Amino acid sequence: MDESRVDQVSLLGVFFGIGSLALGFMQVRMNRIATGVPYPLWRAASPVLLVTFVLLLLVALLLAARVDARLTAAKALTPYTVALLLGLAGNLILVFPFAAAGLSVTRLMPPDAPYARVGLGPGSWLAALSGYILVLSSLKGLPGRRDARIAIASLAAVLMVALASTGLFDRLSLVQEWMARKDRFFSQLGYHIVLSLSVTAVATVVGAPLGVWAHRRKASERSIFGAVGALQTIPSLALFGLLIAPLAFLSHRFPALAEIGISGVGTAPAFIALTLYALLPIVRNTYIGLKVVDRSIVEAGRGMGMAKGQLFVSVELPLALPVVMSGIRTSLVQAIGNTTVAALIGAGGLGVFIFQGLGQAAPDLILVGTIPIIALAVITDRLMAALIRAITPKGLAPAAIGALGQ
Amino acid sequence: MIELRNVTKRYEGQAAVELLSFTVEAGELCVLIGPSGCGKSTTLKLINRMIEPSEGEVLIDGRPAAGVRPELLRRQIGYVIQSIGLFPHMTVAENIAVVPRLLGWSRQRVAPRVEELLDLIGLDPSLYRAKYPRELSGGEAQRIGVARALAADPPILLMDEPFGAVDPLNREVLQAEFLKIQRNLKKTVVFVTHDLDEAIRLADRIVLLSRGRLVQIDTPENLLSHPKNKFVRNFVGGDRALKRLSRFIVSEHLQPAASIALFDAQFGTRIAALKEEGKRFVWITDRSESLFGWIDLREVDGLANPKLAVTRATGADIAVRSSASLREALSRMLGQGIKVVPVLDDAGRLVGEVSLADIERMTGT
Repeated sequence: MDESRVDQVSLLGVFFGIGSLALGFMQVRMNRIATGVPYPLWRAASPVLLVTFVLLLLVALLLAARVDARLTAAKALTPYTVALLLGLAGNLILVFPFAAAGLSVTRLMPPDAPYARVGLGPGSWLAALSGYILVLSSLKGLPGRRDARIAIASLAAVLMVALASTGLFDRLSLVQEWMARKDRFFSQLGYHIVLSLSVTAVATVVGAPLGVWAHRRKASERSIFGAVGALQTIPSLALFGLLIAPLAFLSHRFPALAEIGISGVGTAPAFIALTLYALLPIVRNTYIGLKVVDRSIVEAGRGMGMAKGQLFVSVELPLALPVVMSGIRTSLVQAIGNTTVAALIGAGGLGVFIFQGLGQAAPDLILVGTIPIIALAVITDRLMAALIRAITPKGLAPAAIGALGQ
Repeated sequence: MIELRNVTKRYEGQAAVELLSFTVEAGELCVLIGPSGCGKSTTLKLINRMIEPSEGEVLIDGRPAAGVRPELLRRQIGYVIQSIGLFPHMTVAENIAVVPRLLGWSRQRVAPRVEELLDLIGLDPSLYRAKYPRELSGGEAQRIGVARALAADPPILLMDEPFGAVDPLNREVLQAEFLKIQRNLKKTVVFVTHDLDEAIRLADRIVLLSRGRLVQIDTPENLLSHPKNKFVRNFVGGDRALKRLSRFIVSEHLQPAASIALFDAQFGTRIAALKEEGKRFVWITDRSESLFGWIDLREVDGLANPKLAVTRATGADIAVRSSASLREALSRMLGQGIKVVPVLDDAGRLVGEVSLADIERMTGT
C-alpha cells in the first residue's frame, strides 16, 4: 500500500460532513405536513454539540489526509491503529446527528403549538452518510482483522439501539410518526419479509430446474432465456397492471379461486409478478454455475463410473452451488425492493407507508417505509454473502467465488 | 484381457475408427500411437464405453463389454486423462476414494487403501491426504490421478496421454515411476500417446494407427527394426537405433564410479592410489555428496597440489538422473563432448556413471 497517498474515499466522507454544516440540520414544522423551517447545526444545537461535531470531523480529516503516513513513519501510530481510529470517528459521526437531534428537540419545540413537529433535516442525513462512508473506508484498512472489522461495522447500530432505549429519540417527528403506527408497522414489516422470502423460494424451486434444463438441452437454452429475459424488461408496475385483468376474470369465473383469496388486486398478482421477476437471476446463475464446471472434471467422473445422477449430485451441483446461491441472493434483495411497489395494487408491505406518505405529503411517513426497506435489503445481502461463504467448498479458489459471488 | 473385434465407429458417415481388431493380453502395457486424428483416443474410449461402437464388439476377459451397464463396467476399469480431472471440492483422499465409494466399500476399508496408494506413488499420506487439488503441483496432481485410477485395484487401466501436460523433465520421472509401479502390479494397460519416445520407453507392444486403421502392432524393438511399410518407417524416423535407447533406464546400466570428496584429508594419497589402479577420470564430490567436478589423473603429475587439476562441473552441467534413459545419457555425452557421464539419484548424490561403451553394447553395434 502506498502510504503517502491521500485516502480519497475518506476525504469525500469528511467533505460531506463539512457540507452538512451548511444545510438544515433540523426542521421545525407547525404540524406533520406543514413545510419545515430549517435550522443549521449551530442554531439547532448547543455550542458543546457543535464543537464536538467539528472536532470529530477534524480528527477524521487528519486521518483521511494521511497525515498518518508521517505519524506511522514516526512509529507513533500503526496503519492498523489509524484505520481503527478512523472507523471509530466514522461511527461517532454516523450516530451524532441522531443523538444531537434528540438532545435538541426541547430547545427547538415552539411554545403553545401542540401539533408542532421537530425532525431531522437534510444536513443530518448528509452527516450520517458522511459517517457511513468513513466507516466503510476504514474497514478497507483492516484486512484480516475479523474481530476489529465486526466491532467497527456494528458499533453504530449498537450505539443507536442503546440511545433509542433511553427514549432519546422519542420526541423526534420520525419516531412519533412511527409510534402512531407501531402495530401496523410490524405487521407490514412481517408481511414484507414473508412475501419477499416466499417469492424467492418459489422462484428458486421453479428457476433452478429451468437453469439445469437450459444447461442439459442446448435446444431449450434460447427459449428459456428469451422468455425469462423478456419478463425482466416489463416495468414492474406494468406487469402488476397486466395481471389484474386476467386474475380478476379468473376469480370472477371460478368462485373457488376467489374463496382462497385470489383476485385481481392484492397478494395474488403481486406474488405472481414478483416471482416472475425473481426468476432471471436464479435461472441464469444456475445455468452459468453448471456451465463453468470444467468439462474434464465431468468427463473424469463419467470415466470412473459415476451415473448421471451421482455426477450431478456429488460433482456438478457442489461446484455450481456458490454461483446458484449468488443468483438467489440477487433475486432476494431485488424482491425486497420490488415488493415495495406491490403496495400500489393493494398487496401491502412497507410500501404502504411510502405511498401513504406521498399521498399526504408527509415526508416522515415516507421515511417510515423507506428506512426499514433499505435496512432489510442491506442486512439480507450481508447474510446471504456470509451464507455463500459458508457453503463454498473449501477446495475452490476464493478469488473465483469472489468474482461471481460478491 | 481386452479384445477388439472389427470395431468401427462412424460419425455422420465418417469413420473415426474402421474395422479395428487387436488383443491386449493380461498384464501387458499396450500403447496406442499415431498422428493426430488417427483414432487412438476414440479407440481407448470404445473400451470403457465412453463411446459406443457403430459396428463390431469389444470383449473384456472374453465377455462382451456391451453386456454390462456402462457405469458398472467403468468402475472395473481405471481411467486417467491428460487434464487429470481431479474434483476440486474434494481432498486428495476423497478423490482417491471415489471409485471405492461407488463400489460401496466401507470406511474402514477405504482409509487404509488411500494410505497405501499415496505410499505407492511416493507422496507422504500425512502431508497429502487433506490437501485440495489446487494446492498440488502438476506432477503431484498427475500422480494422484494415477492413484485414483488404481484405487479399487481394477485389472485394467486406460490412460489417455496421462503425462502429456507435464514438462519434459517431470514427464521422464513420472514415466519411470509408472514403469516401476506397473512392474509390480502387472495391470492390463492401454496407453494413448502421440510421443513416440514415450511409447518406446513404456510399451510392451505398440499399436500404430493411421486414419482409424491399424497399421502395425508389434513390440517396440520390432517396430523399430522391422517397420512394415513406408508409413511406419517415416513415422518412427531415421533415428531408430537412438529411439531404442529410450527403453533402457540408466539405473539398470549403472557402473560404479570412482570418486573422492574434495575435502578428503587423504586427497593426495587417494589420487595416487587411483592412478595406481589405472584410472583416468575421477569424480570430485562436495560435502553433501553432490557433484563438484572431475579430475583427469594424467594432469596431476608435477602439480604441487593435485586439487589444482580439478575441473569444476556441476550435476546440472554434465550429469543425468538415475531415472533417465540411456538416450538422454548419450545426448549428454554428445552435448558435452565426454565419454562418461556421472549419474545422480533424486537427492542429487553421485551414485555411479554410464560410459559410451556401455551404450554401444546396448545398441548392439
